[in-house]
Amino acid sequence: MDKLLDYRAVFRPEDVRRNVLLPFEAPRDYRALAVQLHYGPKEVRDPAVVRRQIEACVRKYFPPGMSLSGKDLEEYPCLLNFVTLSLDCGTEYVGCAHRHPPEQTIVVSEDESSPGFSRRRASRGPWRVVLHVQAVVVGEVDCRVAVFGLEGGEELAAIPAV
Amino acid sequence: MPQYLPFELHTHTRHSDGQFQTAGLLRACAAYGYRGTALTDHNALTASDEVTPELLAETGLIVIPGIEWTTFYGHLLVLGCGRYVDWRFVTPDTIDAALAEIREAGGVAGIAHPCEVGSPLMCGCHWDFHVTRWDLVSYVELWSDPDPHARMKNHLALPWYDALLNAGHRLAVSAGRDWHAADPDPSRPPLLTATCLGVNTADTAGALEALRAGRSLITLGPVPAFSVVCGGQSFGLGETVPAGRVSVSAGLGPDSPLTHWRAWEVEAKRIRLVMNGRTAAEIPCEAGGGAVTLEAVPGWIREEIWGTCRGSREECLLALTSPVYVA
Repeated sequence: MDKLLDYRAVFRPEDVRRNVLLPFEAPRDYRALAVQLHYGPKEVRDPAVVRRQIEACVRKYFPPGMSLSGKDLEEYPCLLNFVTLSLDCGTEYVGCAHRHPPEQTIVVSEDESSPGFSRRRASRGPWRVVLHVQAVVVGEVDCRVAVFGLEGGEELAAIPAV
Repeated sequence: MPQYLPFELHTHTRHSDGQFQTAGLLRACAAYGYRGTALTDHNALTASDEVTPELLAETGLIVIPGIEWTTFYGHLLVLGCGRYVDWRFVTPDTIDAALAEIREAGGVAGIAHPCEVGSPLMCGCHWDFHVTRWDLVSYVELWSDPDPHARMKNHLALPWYDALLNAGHRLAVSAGRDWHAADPDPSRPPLLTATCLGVNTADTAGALEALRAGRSLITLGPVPAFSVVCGGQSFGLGETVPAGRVSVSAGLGPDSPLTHWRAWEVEAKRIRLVMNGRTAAEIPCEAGGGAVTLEAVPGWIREEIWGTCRGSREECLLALTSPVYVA
C-alpha cells in the first residue's frame, strides 16, 4: 500500500464556494485506489447560530413580508458543514461523492467502485482530487484527505486513519 | 398527436445522497404509476450503469439518464447528455458557455428549484447564475418536493418563471419530487406531483424531445387539455400561434395513471386561462371545460387548474401547462 496524497486544511466561512485542486501521481498501476475524506465538525446545533443563519437567509432570499413555512423550518433542526469530493484520472471525470457522512472511504477499481464513481483501472499517471467547500456555517472545519494505492489483497480496514 | 405521460423528473440514489438503490427507485416510480423517470444524482452519472434491460422490462419505465449539476451557484438538471460536461468550475458569468456545451452534447438543461434558499443555509441551492442565453435552457422546475404548496420556494418560483416568460423567453415547466428515499408506507403516499410530457414516441428520445419542444404540464392530479385554434389549425403546448382572434379550448383531459391523489381529496373547481401573466378567462370545471375566444397578443397563454385538496376549502393551483406562444 502506497500513500499517494496526504492533505490537511482548515476551512472557514470565507472558503465557501472554493474548489481545492489536489493533483497527485500514481507511480504505477494498482489494484485499486482508496480516497479517504474526513472533516469536522459536521453539525452546528447552537440555536442562536441556527436562528441567525435562518434570519440571514430570509432577508437575502425572500421578498419583504415572506418567511419560511413550518415545513421549511423542519429542514433545519441543525446546520451542516459540508465538503464534497470529486476525482479525475488525467482528463477523465471519475465521479463525485456528494453525500453527507463526514468520514468516507471511496474506492475506485476496475472490478468495483464506490457509488458515484465509474469503474476504471487504478492506472499509473496523473490523478486529481477536487474538494468542494459547500458549507462552513461558523468557525473552522478541519479537513483531511489521503489517497492510497492498493496493491492487492489489502483490506480497506488496513488503511491507516487520517 | 403527442401522448402525455407522467414522469418523475428529479430523483436521487445512493450514487449521491439518496437512499435508493437504482432498482428500488425505478420500482417505486412504477408502483406509483409513473411511466418514466429521470436519474438526476448530484454530480454523478453512475446510476444509469445499473439500469439493465431486465429492469426496464420489469418496470416498463422510460428512463432518462441525467445528472443534477450541484454547483455553488445553482442546481441544473442535465438530461440525456451524450458525454460528460464538467459542472465543477462554472461560475455565474460562464454559465452560457456551459449551457452551450450541454446543448452541443445533445443534453436538455432545466433549472431546479430556482427560488430555494441558498448560502449559508443551503449553499448553491438558489439560482444565482447570470444566464443571458435562455434559449439554451429548456425548462424550469416550478414545483419541488412532493407537496408543492408546503414550501415557500415553490410560491416564489411561479412569479420568477412568469417574469422570464414575460421577457420573451420560452421555457417549459416541470415538477420534481427531489426524491431521495422510499416512502415509509407506499400504500399511503404523500401528495405527489407529476410532470406529464407530450411524447411522440414513448421512449427516452421522445421524452427529451418533448422537453425541448415545450410539451409539458405539471399536476397534482387533474390533467389539463389545452389547445389554441387559429385559422382552422390547432396549436399545442410549446407551439406558436399568430396573434389575433383565437379560440382556446381548455378542459380536463383523461385522468393521469397516478391515482393516489384521490385519497387527498383533490378536486378541480375552475380552469383559468392566463395570458402574459394576467387572467384572460375562467371556465368552471363542472362541464369538463369549454372553448373561449380571445384576442391573443404576442406573448404566451397557458391553462391552469385551480381547486381544493386535503379537505381544505382554500383553493390552490392543481395543475398548469407550459405555454402556447403568441407571435
